[in-house]
Amino acid sequence: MDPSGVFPTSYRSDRRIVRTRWQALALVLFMGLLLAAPYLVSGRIIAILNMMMISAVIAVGLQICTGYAGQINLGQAAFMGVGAYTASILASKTGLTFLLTIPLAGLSAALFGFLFGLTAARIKGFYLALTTIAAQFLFHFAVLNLPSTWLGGSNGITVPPAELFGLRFVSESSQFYLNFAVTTIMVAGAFGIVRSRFGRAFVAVRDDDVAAGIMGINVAATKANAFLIGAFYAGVGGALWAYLIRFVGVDQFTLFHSIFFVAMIIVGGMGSIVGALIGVFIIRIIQEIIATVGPNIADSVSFLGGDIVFAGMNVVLGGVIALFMILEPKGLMHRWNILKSSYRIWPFPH
Amino acid sequence: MTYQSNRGLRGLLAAAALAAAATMPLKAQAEETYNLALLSDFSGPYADIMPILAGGREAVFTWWNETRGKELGVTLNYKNYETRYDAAQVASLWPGIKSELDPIAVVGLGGPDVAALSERLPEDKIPMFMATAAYGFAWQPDAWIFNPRPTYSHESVGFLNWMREQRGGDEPLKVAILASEASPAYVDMAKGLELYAEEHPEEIDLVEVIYTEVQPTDLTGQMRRVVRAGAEALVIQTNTSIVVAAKRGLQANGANIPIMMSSHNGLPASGGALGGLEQMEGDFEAYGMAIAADEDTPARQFYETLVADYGLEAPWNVVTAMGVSQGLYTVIVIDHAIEANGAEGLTGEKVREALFARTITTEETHGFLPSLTFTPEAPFPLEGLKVNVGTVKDGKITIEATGVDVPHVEKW
Amino acid sequence: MVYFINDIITGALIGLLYSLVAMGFVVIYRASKVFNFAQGELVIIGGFIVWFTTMQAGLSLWLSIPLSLVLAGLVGYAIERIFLTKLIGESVFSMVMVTVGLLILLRGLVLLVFGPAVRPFPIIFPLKPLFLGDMLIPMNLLIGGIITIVAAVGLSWFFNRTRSGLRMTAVAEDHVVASSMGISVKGSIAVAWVLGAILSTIGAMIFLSGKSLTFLASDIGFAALPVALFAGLESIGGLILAGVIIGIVQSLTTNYLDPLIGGSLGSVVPYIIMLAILLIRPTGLFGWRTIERV
Repeated sequence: MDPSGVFPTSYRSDRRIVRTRWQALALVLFMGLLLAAPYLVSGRIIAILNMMMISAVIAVGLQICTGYAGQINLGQAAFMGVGAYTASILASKTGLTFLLTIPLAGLSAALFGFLFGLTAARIKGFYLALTTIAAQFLFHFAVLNLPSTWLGGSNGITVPPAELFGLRFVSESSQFYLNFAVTTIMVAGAFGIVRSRFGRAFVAVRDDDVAAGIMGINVAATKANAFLIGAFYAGVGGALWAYLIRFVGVDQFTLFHSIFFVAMIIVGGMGSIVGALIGVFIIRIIQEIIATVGPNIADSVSFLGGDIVFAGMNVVLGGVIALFMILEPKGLMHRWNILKSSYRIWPFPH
Repeated sequence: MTYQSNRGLRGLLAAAALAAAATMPLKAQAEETYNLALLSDFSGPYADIMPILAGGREAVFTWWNETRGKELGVTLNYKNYETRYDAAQVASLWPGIKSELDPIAVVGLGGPDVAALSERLPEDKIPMFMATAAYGFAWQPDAWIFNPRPTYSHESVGFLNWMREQRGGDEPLKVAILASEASPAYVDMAKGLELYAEEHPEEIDLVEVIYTEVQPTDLTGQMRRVVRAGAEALVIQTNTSIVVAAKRGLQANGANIPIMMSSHNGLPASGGALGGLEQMEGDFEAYGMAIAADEDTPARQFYETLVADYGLEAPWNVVTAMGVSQGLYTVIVIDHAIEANGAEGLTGEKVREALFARTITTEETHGFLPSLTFTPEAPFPLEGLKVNVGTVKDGKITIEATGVDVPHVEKW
Repeated sequence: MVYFINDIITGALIGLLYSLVAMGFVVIYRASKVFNFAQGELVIIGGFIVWFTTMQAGLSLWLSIPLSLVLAGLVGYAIERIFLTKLIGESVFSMVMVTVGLLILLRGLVLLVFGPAVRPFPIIFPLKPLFLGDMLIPMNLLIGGIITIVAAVGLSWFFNRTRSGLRMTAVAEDHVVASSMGISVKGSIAVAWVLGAILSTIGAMIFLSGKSLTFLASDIGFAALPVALFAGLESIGGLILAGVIIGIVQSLTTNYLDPLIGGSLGSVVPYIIMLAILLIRPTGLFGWRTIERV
């Protein structure tokens, strides 16, 4: 809901993402702060931001597939892996520039995702969601068993750093700008997708696929598209990951990683791009807190008592996710929206 | 950041350091302090052994500071970083470690540390010292990450050749290996042995290569194949659960083929998981590190010293031995670097040079490790490799053989 | 030839173990329309309960097995009460998502309560295999197979022939319609989780008897998943057939194909079969083909 006094007077203005001047100002400030971050905060924070932005790209893709189109996807880490491997192989064998490898990584992951999405023509409901787990196992099997000259097998692949006009993206801050640019494009694209014809088709299919079909939406194609877009995002995120870590191995893309991506969008809120970003932020922050305060706690508790504390940290993470789903099944974004609208319509209750 | 500005910054820092040093008492000037970053996993899959491993390596640093460090006028500070055994976490911690500690060496734990830092450390010129055996995929020249032990395949080949000699006769030793595709590391262990057996048919006849799950449902059928093929040894370097399932499979077949295990899934761990060490009677563990048995070895004596004087609380077992040996070769390399360059201005690069410059003798590591001669060709010593063999006799872990030579293994 | 037949029999029995674990999925789905991603974690929790009552508390098997089943049932009930009851009325989708959170939470709890060490699991079924001529049949799998078939027959009868079973089936059809017809959705879901936890505990006993227990054991949940989808998420009887087929194909693959390719095709072959069958029959062999109305 808009603040009072703001009325869209045309379809164009009704579709706007940035609706008021204050919103525009907040956005500019936020982006400006992020851009200046490498000059303001330490390398540790920049490294955390790098990891968050990469996760954000992948989680936003999952949000489109699961949150908007309603297709539970437990293969997002495998799709990310396909992207990471594509980028690594192209970069290390052909020396292609990252300007091409990143989109190509997205495309190859999209193709892999589309294959699973295609089964949507026949498979429905949970059956479809669960076939995405198969993607995870097949990816793992393929990497380890295809000739190791193809995908590196158990050796993994070492990735040369991204380079542009002789500038090597090695330091945290240079990688930050690479990730920032790609993440901005991808997130802006996501806003575009979800308010386009595709996005509305996604929501229609999620809410009721039979009704959507009657309204003239090609349900199977829409589901396949959802997987395609979700996987494209995962592939781009995977390519960024490859350029950040510069070593890819099949154990970086497991089912457990997929589950955590799902957890991120749950915490943030289903069906909201900003929600996906918030979910990434919260889960990564909790993980960083565990990693940061952990050793200090270990020092203060007696010997061998430490493992109990740390196991407790994992419970905290699981507990946060489970609690969110019980108390706030619609995610943090939902709560925020309620707060926002009650502020705007105050003093009226509705 | 360009080179120029980097230099400018360094100059500024040096000036600041000088100013700070001028205001400090004299004693601090005489003593140099360097930092070590310890990567740990207190909350991930290795949470159960981490406190023991960490205790082992930290006790060694305390010991070194109070003995050699005092003579040299150097103190080594260390700080544990929690990685959750996750490459993403290591990558996000690394810039902080660099700026906060400016370490001269990193003491690493496992695969995720290697994955996240293998391309970073050469750029930042900081070496990393691991505790485990190496892997084929990390076998590259000009390494910055080092292992005191050769690859798992080196260790199994060394053991198998020893076993063949014990048996006598000219025929090759019939061997089966049980691996898993759950982790690329497990595949790597099998691949190295497979290649060696292929190239040395007169030594090892690899009769079965079996892939299974990390928690197998039932291995009776697979073990029957191993028994029927006449295997004389079964190599399992994966995990404890597979050892237990294989043991049950062998028992069901009424067979008793000796199993060879590694350090992380060795006799105490597997025996414990089976419900009693006596069930591992006649099985072996083999690795290039001291075996934590009851015998009174130099390693055992050094451990007792650490317990008595340097606050080590961990029990005498393989995990402690791993922590202590990791700590030992790390401080000895640093020791060598100080002897070569003086106590001042030590950097990660100089530590790495010292590693290549001088052999770390087995006396220096109190028998925890064999003499280690590192070369720039590999992340582990290629020559003079040895493994130790432990077994269970009368329900107790004993040392069966020490200093067994490892033959030359081709890279796979 | 004898060994070939032996491999088929062992494979079928392993398949029946998958069926039993898959039955946990199906029972919960059948009674609440929720697909429980944390099924593998229920297996570990069951395993730890059994381990605790035997190895820690030192009870005899005759006492500890029934006690473990009761405790597992209580855990199932508690999970349902704490996590799922409040979500009745929300979409099924969010209930399924809760089970994803449950997966992470239960893993952490197991780590917190029992620690990450590898523990010996009690020997519940005789270690000595059954000898049939040259053939060896593992005793735990054989007895487990019989238990699985008995459980499947019993549960099929319960769901298809008894009043309370049919009520639960109605809940799976539609929560709102069921509750408007006076059926307690809450009660139905509670019974489902109690049953699911008990089945998982029996599965843990068969799976782990005489072996070791760590949280790696939860992988059995994902090994059993293809069996559940292959049979169809609503069919209990179909699980037996699906499990046997998948078990046999997997056993033959690991024993005859894997040595040739030098890899582990056996661990992914259930997923390949599952994908193939779903493309031919989108709701598995015996799953309900619902006609959707708007």
